[in-house]
Formats: sequence, structure tokens, C-alpha cells
Amino acid sequence: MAMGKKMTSAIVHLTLILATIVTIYPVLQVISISLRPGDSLYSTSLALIPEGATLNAYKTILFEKPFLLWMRNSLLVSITVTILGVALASTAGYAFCRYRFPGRGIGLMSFLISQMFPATMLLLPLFLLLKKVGLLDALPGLVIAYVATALPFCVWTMKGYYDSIPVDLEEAAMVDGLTQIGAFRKVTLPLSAPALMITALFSFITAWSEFMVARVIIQSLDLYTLPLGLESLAGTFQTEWANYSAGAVLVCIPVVALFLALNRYLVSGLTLGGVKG
Amino acid sequence: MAGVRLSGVTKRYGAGITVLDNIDLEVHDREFMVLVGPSGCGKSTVLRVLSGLEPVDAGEIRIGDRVVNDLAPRDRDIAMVFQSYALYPHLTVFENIAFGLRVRKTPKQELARLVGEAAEVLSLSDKLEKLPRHLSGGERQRVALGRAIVRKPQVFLFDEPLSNLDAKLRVQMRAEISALHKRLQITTIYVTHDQVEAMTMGERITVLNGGHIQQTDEPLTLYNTPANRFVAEFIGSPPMNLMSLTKKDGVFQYAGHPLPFTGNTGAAEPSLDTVLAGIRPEHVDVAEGGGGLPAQVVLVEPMGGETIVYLALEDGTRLVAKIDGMRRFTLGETLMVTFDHQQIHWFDPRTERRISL
Repeated sequence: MAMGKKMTSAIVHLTLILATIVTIYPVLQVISISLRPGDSLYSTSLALIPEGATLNAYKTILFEKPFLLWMRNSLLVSITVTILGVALASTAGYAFCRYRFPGRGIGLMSFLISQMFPATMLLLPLFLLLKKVGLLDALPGLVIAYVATALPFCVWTMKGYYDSIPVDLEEAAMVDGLTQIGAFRKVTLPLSAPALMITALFSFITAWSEFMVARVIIQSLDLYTLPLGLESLAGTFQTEWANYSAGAVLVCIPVVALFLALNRYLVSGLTLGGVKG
Repeated sequence: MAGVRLSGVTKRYGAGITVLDNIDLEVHDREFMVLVGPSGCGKSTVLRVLSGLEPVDAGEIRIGDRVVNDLAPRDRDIAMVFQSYALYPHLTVFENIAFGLRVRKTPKQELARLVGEAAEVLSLSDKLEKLPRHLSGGERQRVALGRAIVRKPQVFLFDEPLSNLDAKLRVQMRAEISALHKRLQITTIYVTHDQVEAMTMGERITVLNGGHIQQTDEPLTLYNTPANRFVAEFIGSPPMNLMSLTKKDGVFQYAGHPLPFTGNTGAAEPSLDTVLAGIRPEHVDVAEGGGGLPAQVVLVEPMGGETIVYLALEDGTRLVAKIDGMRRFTLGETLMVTFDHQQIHWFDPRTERRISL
């Protein structure tokens, strides 16, 4: 019995170790390449810190390429998408949760259905729509596209979470002297912090790492976001791999920082909405 | 302080479900009124329309001399204690109690004093910094009470506040709520499905069923002169025995045994061929011999001070008797059942109303 348990534990751990290696190796490889002196992608060395490691690539990417401009554009777009995503999803989710109105069922279902189509299918309609309203090759156009794609998931997350908050709490707040909006703001919203964090993070990452839609909507070099900028580093005949990797590492930093900051909300947030507690 | 008056209040859900049907109810200033009835009778809905959480479809609601039909809950000057307590989980006990005062922008010092006083009354002074999840059921209940009393509203509404507590705590909180009412003298409407709670706490009780008021009276009046069959069966534990009697040779009889209509309220004998006779379990007696109806013992519940004996008459009709706890019974034995004729309640079988009211 004890032997069987040990065996199971060993297999589980071995699987987890393998999965961790598979996950972490490419990241370490990218960091390693970013520290290499030349532009060589391939090396026979297994050393994590390559021989003659240098931060030159970081210097180049930060000061000789328009990396900071791309970063500014990406931050602008991502933060706006996050703010809009949270504001719209938190209120729309609340309406879907607490009110019964014509079109409620269809609305929720259409949100769900929109998630079943791959993002590339939305490219053409999005392009045509934005062209019609004159928002092609403009950051607001990109913001609209990202908010539209992130919103269905966020609304469902928020609605699921509100469903688990007893309506008694809002009613108690209303008897205590608040309006329904006041009760939403002072009671429901603070209690929904984990779901709001998930929504914020999802909206941010959707905008931060997206390439395809940005590629179609943005043409001007000075409006490039980070994924577009990074791609532009890959030349037709020669790619500066060290610069490319340094850029990739720098792109990851804000997302990792955000993850670490919101970690404690995420652990509870990801399980929320599903179970009534 | 203020009285509450509901006149012709009707509440419907959806197309055809009428939850409250033309309700007229007056709760006097400073009174402790209990609304009691089975699940789905509309008692909680009365509180919800009174608090403004639900609009009414017809009728008028007055709190004091104000018609409050169109007022939002926050403008009705009421406080409500919910069955689930509805404590704000993200706020400390202090902030939970202070919530209503903060919303009303009570000055800081005044707020601290009022919360302190409420906490003192409810023995919560050492729990003020805790979050609700760190409190026991009884303590949570007290916080909910604290949140209600701190504002000194015109009316308290209690929606089955003790149903989530264990039996012992329920008895304790029952006494505390009654004591609180005596101390604060605020008009209180208390909803429960537990008739023991209703009898022990209410100055008056309103029995509801199917969205209609069955009877409003003081607890003992309700017990001693139930207005109809429903009230007779609902109030009292174990419930009242009901037997259908038929008139033969000018006397009401049950299976050949006469049960003379004595009319314990001095009413004239009804000109009906059949009546329903209601007999409380404590007015049923059993003996090993002598006259009466023969019945078999089918279940015995010894409670200590008294014993509840379930009996089956020859035709299968079940009777419940509450007998002194010292007597012993054997399952299956046949006993002779007699009734205290002065204590029989008579109901018209068609209208189910009390005869002689």
C-alpha cells in the first residue's frame, strides 16, 4: 500500500518536473540568447549564461530601436482596454445577473457563441467596420477591437461571480440607506475583487500580447505595439536574434509583474463563479 | 415610533401567482407582531413589500402617518434582519453595525458612540474588529441585530432570523430579542414559520395561509379560539385532533359515540348534519377501562414531563393525546379514549370556520 502510494507520488512528481522543464526551457533559452554576444541562434553550449555574456542586446533594443515608443503604444492600448473591459464587464455582468429583461438569454448566448469562432474569422469584419468609422491605423481602433474580443469572457466571468453573491447583501444595504447603484458600488463591487482582477488581467493580456489584429489594423510605424515592433526586428535575410530575444524578455516583464502582484486574487479568482460559497 | 397599516395590499408574481391577496393588517405603535404561517404563505412577502424591496400591485402601506408605497427602502425608516443575516463579509463587525450610520453621514464621534452602545447591549464589544467569518452563528445574528438597532428606526422587520441557529441558541436568542423589544419599544414585525417562536414572542400573532390572513389575535386567544380549521391545526403542537361528527337522534356522534355540542363559547347549536370537532391533545384522556372510544396505541413519544401518545380509532382515524409523563404505555394496547367536552372546538365542515364566533 505504502509502496503503491510512493510510486504514484514519484510518477506525479516526475510528470510535474517534466512539464516544468518543458515550460521553462524555452524561456531560459530566450534569456540565454538575449545574453549572447553574437547574433547566433544556435549554440552547442548548454550553459544558461553563455560565454562572454553581455547586456548589449538590451542596450540596443532600448536605446537604438523605437522599443520605448512601442512600449508606450502597447501600454496605452492595454491600459485603456483594461479600464474599459473592467468597467463594461462589471456593469454588464451585473445587469445580466440581477435583472430579467427581454433579450437577456439571447445576449448571454451570443456572447458565448462569439467565443467559439477563432479570432482570425473576426479580422475581416473588424477591418471593414473600423474602415467605415475611420479608425483604421489608429490606436482607438485597436482598443475597440480588443475590448470587443475580451468582453464576452469578462462579462461571463463577472456574471458568474455576481451569481454567487447573495442578493440579501444588496437588499440589506438598500434598507440601510443606499440606492441599488450605491449597494452595487459599496457592497457587490468590493466583494467581487477576485473576479475584477481576473477581468483586468485577461483584458490586459489580450491587448498586450495580441499580434494578428494589430498587424491588420495598424500600418504606421509610430503606432506599432510591442508584438508588431518585435516582429519588425526579424529581417528578411538576417535576424538579430539577441535583440529579438532581449525584446521578448522585456515584453514579458510587465505581464509577469502583474501576475505576481495579482497572484493572491488569481488563485481564488479562477475558482470563483463556479461554486456557490 | 410608528404603527404600520396595510390596507388591501395585493402582490402578484408573474401572470397568475397571487402571493398576497387583499391583505389588511394593522400593527400598533410599539407592538411586537408575529407573522406566522407555512412556507409559501406570503409572510416574507409582507416584509418585502413593507420594506420597499418589492412593489405592491394594489393597496396602501402606511408607516406612521406616511403612505410609503412609492418610497425607496432607504426612505422608509425601517431596519430589517434577514434570515441569512446578510452581513457584509468584507467589513468588520464595527463597520457592519456602522454601515447605515455612515451612509447617513453621522458625525464620527456620534457614530462611534452609537455603535459602542449597540455593541454593549448585544455583548459584542470585544468583537468589533473581527470579520463576520470569524464569528459564531449566534454572534453573527447579534451583529445583524446591532445593525438594525443602531439606527433606531421606526419599525423593525425580522425575516425568520433564528432559523439558521441550533435549538439551544434559538431559545436564547428568542429571549434576547424579546428583551431587546421591551427595552427599545420599537414597533416590530417578526416573521417565522415556527409556532413556538410565534406564541412565545408575539404580543399579537397574525396567521397567514395562501396569501390570506386567517386570524390576528393575542397568542392565547389564538390558541383557545381559533377562527378556522387552518388556525386550529397550525397553532399548537402536537396539532389539534379533528373528527367529523354526524347528527343522529338529535345528537352529534362519532361512530355511535355521542359528543354533545356544549358550545364552549356559548353559541347556539348549529343546524348542520355534520360538524368538525377539534380537540387539543391535552384535552384527550385515555383509560384502561370504562366508557369512551376504543383506540389502539400506535406510537409513544415520552418527553419527560408529558408523553405524546398516538392512537388509532377503530375506523383508522388517528388521534394524538398529551398525557402526564408518569404514565406508561405499551405499543398495540387498546385503551378507552375520552374527551373534555367543555374544550371541544366546533367547525363548519363546508366553510371550515369556527361555529360560534
